[in-house]
Amino acid sequence: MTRSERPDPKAILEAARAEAVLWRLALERPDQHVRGDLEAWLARRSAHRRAWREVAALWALLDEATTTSELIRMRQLRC
Amino acid sequence: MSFAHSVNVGDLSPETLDARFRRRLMSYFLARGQDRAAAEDLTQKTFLRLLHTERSYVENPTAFVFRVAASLMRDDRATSLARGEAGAVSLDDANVIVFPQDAVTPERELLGRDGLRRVLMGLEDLDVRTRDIFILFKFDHMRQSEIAERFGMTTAAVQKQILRATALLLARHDPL
Repeated sequence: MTRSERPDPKAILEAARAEAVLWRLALERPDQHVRGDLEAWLARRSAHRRAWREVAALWALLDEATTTSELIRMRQLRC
Repeated sequence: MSFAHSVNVGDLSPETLDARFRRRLMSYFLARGQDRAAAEDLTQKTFLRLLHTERSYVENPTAFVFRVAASLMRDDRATSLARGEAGAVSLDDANVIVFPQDAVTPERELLGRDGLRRVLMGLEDLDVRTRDIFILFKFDHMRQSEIAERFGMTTAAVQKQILRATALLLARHDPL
């Protein structure tokens, strides 16, 4: 495999991040039993695990942001 | 019952809570690493807490319900950690990889306040439509199908907007 044919790590991680968000959305639907499939996906590649950790950390940060004045203002603007 | 205006939390009936919030609370708890039984338990505890809330008017009852839910989950986690129960999060626990939201991981330590500030700036920088959709989904806990109806778009298009917002926010707080 030549250098130009090697998968771009940045592209792999970006794709993994998109998939991680889709997994998270699926996980939030109680009618879907995806936990086993998610664990298999996580076991497949380190990029998947990194992407999942990043999305989880972002979600947690956003949870913390709920009571910030900036977010309250943005929500008021939406109304 | 409309939730578009101020509501007295003490007036919410068990039936209203169940119809309006059971599914969404289950989703909330499942997405944060609770198994089905624990999610059921926490959902029930949330309803009980709400039903015993002093009469008070709140502007956004949905946000209030999820604040109560988050508080109960934190208490539950703290109790498990204090008891040293199996299943409590630790850095060696494989569950940390899968569901790390409540654990103090090195990633979260690093993100800290600066991460919060950058993510909020990232939210500000999203185009208005994408931001509105993301806020409705993430903070108002609105279903994707409900958002789609409100904006006159397909559920797939809403999901695309959520993905786009998330990708931009991730790039903002952790540039590749």
